[in-house]
Amino acid sequence: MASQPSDASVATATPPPHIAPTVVKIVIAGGFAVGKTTFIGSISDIDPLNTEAAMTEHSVGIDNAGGVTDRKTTTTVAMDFGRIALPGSLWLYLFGTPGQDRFLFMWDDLVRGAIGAAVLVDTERLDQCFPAVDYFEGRGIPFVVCVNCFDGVAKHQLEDVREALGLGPNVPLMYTDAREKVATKQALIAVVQLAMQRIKEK
Amino acid sequence: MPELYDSQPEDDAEDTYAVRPYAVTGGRISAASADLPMEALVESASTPESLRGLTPEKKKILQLATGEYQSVAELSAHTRLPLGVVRVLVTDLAEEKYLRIHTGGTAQDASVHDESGGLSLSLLESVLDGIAAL
Repeated sequence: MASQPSDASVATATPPPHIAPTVVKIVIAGGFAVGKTTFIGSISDIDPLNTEAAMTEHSVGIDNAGGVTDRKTTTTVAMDFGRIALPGSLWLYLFGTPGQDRFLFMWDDLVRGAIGAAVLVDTERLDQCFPAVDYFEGRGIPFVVCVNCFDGVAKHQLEDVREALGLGPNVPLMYTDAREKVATKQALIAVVQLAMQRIKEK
Repeated sequence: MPELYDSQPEDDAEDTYAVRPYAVTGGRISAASADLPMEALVESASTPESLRGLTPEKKKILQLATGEYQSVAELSAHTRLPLGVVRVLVTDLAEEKYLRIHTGGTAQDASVHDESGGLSLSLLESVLDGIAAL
């Protein structure tokens, strides 16, 4: 049993030095050029940074002369991310997913320990968000779908988008404007609320 | 030996690193480094004098993580080294006691996760309040 400090107010007023912030993360997903980096930049304390994961691919193909080539190519996959300091020594990281579908396998690393995800949707290119929706649904990761209103204009009804994406009634769906902090804040709140709701339902 | 760790010198015009990335790590990917969350925070525990003999990449990481916490992802962005390389270097430096790794809040922190691996309600409440106050 822990011993009680003789003066609790003094004990709480002087936290020990060298306490690192607690870090949490939310994943921002969606197709190429849907506004993920803009979304992150609208609310991040730091300008969005870019990190790369390099992979060496072993590719075998037929060269122009008809011969079989066997060579290595290095592919880099870029991820953008930002950071928000919250009260209580909490740091929230926002990680954007690499744009191309063929890097879905990298998402396991990205989502490990995440609160949940926001999937950004461009209604002109709905199909681009299918991989993200499938991924989060398949792994039971809490996610919300945000229809990005380019130029601030909502071109489609949300229920039409829900139907087109085949989203269940329990998936939160909202409009957002990736450029506006007020809108991105609401999207992040929706992700956290959904994650909390999941825990309470258990 | 997998191709990934092939250390044969190669003429690669697109390679922007002075040394090929996986040569920087000695061609290794340790199990411990693969588990290191990209949002884990790193803090230098070394003095400038103690850096003698370290590779430029390791020195750079320690310099960046001096005086402020840096996540593994941020170190990767600032050094322009791939995430996997930074993970190996950070794990090495931690084993050699040059830096400290803080994983509070990440998937490696059991105190904020419930039995099924989900984050604790109290932590999520703090995050929610924090975002709402932005």
